[in-house]
Amino acid sequence: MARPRGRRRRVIPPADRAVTPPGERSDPAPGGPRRGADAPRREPVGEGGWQRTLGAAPDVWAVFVQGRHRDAHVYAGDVHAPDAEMALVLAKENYTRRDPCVNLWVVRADQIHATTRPAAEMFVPATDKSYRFGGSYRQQRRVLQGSYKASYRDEDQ
Amino acid sequence: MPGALAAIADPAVRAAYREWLLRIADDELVIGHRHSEWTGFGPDIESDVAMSSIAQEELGHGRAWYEQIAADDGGDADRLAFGRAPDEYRHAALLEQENGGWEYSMIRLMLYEAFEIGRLRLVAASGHEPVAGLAQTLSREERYHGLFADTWLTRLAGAAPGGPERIQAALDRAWPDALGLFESTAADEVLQRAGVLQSSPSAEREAWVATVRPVLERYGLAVPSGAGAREGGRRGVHTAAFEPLLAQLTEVWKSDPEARW
Repeated sequence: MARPRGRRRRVIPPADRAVTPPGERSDPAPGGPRRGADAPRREPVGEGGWQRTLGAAPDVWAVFVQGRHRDAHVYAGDVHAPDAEMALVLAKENYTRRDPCVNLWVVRADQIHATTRPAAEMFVPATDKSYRFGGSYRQQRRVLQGSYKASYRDEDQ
Repeated sequence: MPGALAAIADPAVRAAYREWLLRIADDELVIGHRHSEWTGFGPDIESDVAMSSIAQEELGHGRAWYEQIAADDGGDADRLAFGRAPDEYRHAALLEQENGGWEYSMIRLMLYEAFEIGRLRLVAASGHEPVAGLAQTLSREERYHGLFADTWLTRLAGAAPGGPERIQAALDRAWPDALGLFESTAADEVLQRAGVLQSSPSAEREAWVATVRPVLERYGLAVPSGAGAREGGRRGVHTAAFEPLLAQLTEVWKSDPEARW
């Protein structure tokens, strides 16, 4: 398709839609970067605190894609939208065009609570916890995979 | 794989059905091109991507229909899509009009999708395979196209100031062209008599108006009254907007029609 010529066309923005500079839309973290118009409304809880909200602009929605039934919903990226319905409509074409999808979630990014980066230390085990892994139990794996395949077949019908 | 036309013994019916399928293919090709002109110019990056995807899907649908026709012509789909004179195209005027503003493109998308879903239902009910199955498959994507337009229009209708006025103007502009989607020719009569189509263009138009009217009223719009249909497209008579569109659309193909892509 040839590119259209002429100036960018004027459109009516939906009421109250926040205008976000295009350059601020590529951050992989939900809520995008926090600069300029996207500056946080709520600061992280204390300096060196362990949790905070993402401080995203109110029109940023985090998108979660479920590839197959019974899979987890996986964070895929953000869309800017004035409400949840529009966020779902835009998420469909922006995040499900290539990979399979059976279900979509959108959630306001400013509603997501997160641990802070310095708090990552508390996730690191201090002693050997290999006993928590069932991977070496061949029988268990066989049973789990067997039931998974059976349930997947059920859904295909 | 032979197309649906091969199964029709009566040459008059076959010619009429070819004509009718060509309308679908041409409608999709031309609207797909117009939608694609939003690529890089959408109101926001997300809608730009979505509209571009819709454009690709319409072009894909056009291609699927051209392949059906070409299977019986012994020709190829590209030649059918790009290699005809302007008066050999059978799309309605609605699809060739320039985009103007986003609100016009959304109104056009909404009016066209409501029509297209009805038309695909008619093809699916014809029982002629493989086009009946194809119509059912393509309907899946058309549903989202209609949803995208409806979601946008609902919000434009509530946008102040000036939103409602602008979509009303867009509707007034699109309406006579939209009625032209239902222009009938001798082919329609032949197909009804032969039992290929279970409905007439006038009955389809009535059903379409009954579908879109409550939606337009929900947007707070007044359905234009007294405006007649702009016809001609189904007979190959097009508006001034079409020739420049066709020239741009076929520019690459015409540079070397024999090239294998």
